[in-house]
Amino acid sequence: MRKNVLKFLSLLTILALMSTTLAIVMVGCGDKNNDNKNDPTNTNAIVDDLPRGEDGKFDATLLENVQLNLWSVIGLPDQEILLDLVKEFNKQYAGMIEIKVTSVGHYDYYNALDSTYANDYSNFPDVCLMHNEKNIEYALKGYFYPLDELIDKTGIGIDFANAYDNIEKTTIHDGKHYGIPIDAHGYLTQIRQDIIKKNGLGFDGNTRFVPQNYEEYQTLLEGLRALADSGELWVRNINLDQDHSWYQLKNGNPNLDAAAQATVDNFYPVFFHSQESDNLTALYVNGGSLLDANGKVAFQNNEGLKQYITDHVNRFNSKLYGDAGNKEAAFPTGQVVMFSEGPWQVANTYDIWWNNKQLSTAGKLGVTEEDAADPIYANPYTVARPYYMADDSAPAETASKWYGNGHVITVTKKVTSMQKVAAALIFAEWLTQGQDENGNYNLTEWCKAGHLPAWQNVYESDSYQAAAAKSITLTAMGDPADIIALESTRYATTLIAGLTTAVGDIQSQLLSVDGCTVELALEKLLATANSTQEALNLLNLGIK
Amino acid sequence: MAKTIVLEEYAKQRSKRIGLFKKYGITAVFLLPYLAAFITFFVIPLFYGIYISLTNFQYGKPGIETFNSFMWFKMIFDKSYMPGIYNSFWLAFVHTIMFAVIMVPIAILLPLGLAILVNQKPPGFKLFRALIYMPSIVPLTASGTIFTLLFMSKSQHGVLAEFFGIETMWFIDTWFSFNLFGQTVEIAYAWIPIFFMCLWGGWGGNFIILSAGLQNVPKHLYEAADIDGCSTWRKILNVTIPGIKPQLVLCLFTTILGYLGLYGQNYVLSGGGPSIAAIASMPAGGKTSTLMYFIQDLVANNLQFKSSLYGLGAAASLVFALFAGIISGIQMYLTREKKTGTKISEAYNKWHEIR
Repeated sequence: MRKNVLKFLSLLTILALMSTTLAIVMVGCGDKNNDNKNDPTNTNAIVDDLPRGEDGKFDATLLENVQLNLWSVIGLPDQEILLDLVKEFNKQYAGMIEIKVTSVGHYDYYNALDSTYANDYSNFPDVCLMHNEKNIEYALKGYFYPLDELIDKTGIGIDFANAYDNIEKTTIHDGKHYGIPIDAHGYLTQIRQDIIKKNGLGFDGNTRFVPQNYEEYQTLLEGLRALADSGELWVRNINLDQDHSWYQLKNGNPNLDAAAQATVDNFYPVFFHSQESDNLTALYVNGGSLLDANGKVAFQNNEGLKQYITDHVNRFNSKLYGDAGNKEAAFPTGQVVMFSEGPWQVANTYDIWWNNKQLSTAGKLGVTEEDAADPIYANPYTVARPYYMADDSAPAETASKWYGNGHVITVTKKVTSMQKVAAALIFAEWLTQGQDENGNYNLTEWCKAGHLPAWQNVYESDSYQAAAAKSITLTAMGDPADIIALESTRYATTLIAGLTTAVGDIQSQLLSVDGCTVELALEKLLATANSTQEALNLLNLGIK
Repeated sequence: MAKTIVLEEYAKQRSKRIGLFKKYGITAVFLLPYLAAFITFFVIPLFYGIYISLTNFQYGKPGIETFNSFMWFKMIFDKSYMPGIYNSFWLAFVHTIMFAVIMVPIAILLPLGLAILVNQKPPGFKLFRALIYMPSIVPLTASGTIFTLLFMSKSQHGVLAEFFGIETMWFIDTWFSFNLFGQTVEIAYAWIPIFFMCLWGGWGGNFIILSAGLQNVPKHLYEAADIDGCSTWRKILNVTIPGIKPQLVLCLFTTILGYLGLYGQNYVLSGGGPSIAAIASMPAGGKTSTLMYFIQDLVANNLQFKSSLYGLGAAASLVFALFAGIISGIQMYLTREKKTGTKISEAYNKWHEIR
């Protein structure tokens, strides 16, 4: 036995000695000349091979077959609009520039970016079309070039003065732009205003059906729940070709299949949804921030966020909230009255289905004369910004705004040719500032998919305003100046996850058998914030 | 002066070379493919892992790292250095040990009992055998979906909630808590679905191994036991179990290692949660986290951790490997073949023959 232990210990010693030697050798042999990857601001790797005209300036028409691989985080349904725009760009720049788009779903995008960077650099993209809140995080990993100097060198007309400061800020670190902003958007609340009206739960004498503050929102949820519990709630199915007649939950609708109608048990006033955007809105409209001036986690200190949590805990009722697994199916049946969704979905599908013409055609599918003539019953579906979460203490400049993220275009450090840099910037300029022969901005086409332009000149253009007037989504989202985008930080992922985990943990506690008090909720917020700070310290140690 | 080699000496040397080739060369040829794979996929990664654990290695940027004075190991073993990491690592360790201690005996004894019953060859035993093994062929993600549906809440139409009125929020509620070395350990209800999923999906493998072992227990031993008037229970204890000891040892070995590395079931069912506020942003900061979860959070699940904390993942992996090695070593020592019974007489005969 003793012999075996001695044998084992000698083996361990040998292993330790070998690994230490190996470590020393490997550290000694390390490649220290990797500045292009390690220094985010370094642009020295780019070879100036720009074709120049007789005046010595870069001439884009002299570019020959420059190919760019672009990774896009845009998924369906707006992916198709992006691909059409890229197709048009390739047509206009045929023989000069060709953009090849690889669409990577947003769940895989950043993982794929990291893996390809680490293990398959030859297939790393030249250009990334990604979320703006991740821009600085990935730029400081050494993935992207700062663009200001490159824009100056090529002379391509991108003037950041036209971009909205509130959206552009996500792309700036130490005064340098690492991305070109394209758009911004927040999550919109989808509302069945017909159900609210029919049950007399609207505001301003039952003439307004979109809650505008916490009190209205919570009162609406509680009113719907109370009527549902007594079976008195009126609902109807608005799906195409279904029976659209009104019925009370206690009676049901014999003309509908069981799955197509609401009951006391399957009805919920609202579905749980992306807490991330609600939490950030609650923080930002109340003048809060994820980090303070010293770079320390600060969300736990914001009084407005604490009040938002306090209100939620004090008036929590689990029967107000359903699980959003089948929200798109449940919403038109009347099983839920509100849920939250990205605006890109609204623009393409829901409008056609849920405000369909059958609802304004009397005498068919249970639609009465009164239903057909009523503008709310004929157009039961609307969208709105989430109810404002501003506390009394909220600063006036942020109180009526909302959190939104968006997309940016970046040039990666895989690009080492100035021709490619120029081609990427030409594409970015074409997409964000380019106009067709009628003076319509190309970005307006993109915004029709459900995005606000990140550029003031585009928003104020006639073409955009005309498009917005026709779009329920763009009208609901309103002015891009109202968007509060994420702070520029290298720790976006960890910070957002920290806040989401804190509020999610409180939500779980509310659903648990023991329930949750305001004190416990605020304790959880503080503890999670401290843990998030520790995670930042840990990441800093790892980077050093 | 030219060297002169006589024919006899040449023949001797040649025959020696051929002899050596026959003795070792053939073995080497057969061993080479395995050896190449072993070195490529085990030895090199092992040493590279040791190297990474000693440096501030950054994923995607190899070559710029420097030695970091055992910083990652200090985090794991010194609470004052980084309390969050210390707490989450050792909590994950406690979860892993507790689950393995409860799970391993059940994961061996239940299949053993089933194997013994099926070995009695009751009517329809082939069907039972197939049914018992069937869960093992269901992929982890599919069985995860099944168990999620079973244990979901009433508002999500979970089967247990709908059909049996069980209101427990399996993936949210805390079952009980206790103090260990001054730290509160909260045990989540989520361990129950994890337990059942492990049991259901895992018993088939052990059942098949033990059933195969039972086929090979000599029949005459049972006949002798019958003649001696042994009860069924005595036959199981004194004939069956000793007869399948090699299979039992194998099952024990693989089951212990399997549950020390528990990850997939937690990942698909609870995502490591519910979270613990004090360590919520740390790797494995949840009530159903395990050591493997801690490592996976660092090297795969969390992209920010992955970028700069690969070294901590490597250090945790080495500590885990050492721990698993010690447990396996103890188990192998305790279940080693002892020189008893015929072994002693055989050894004596051998010695006697030599003499």
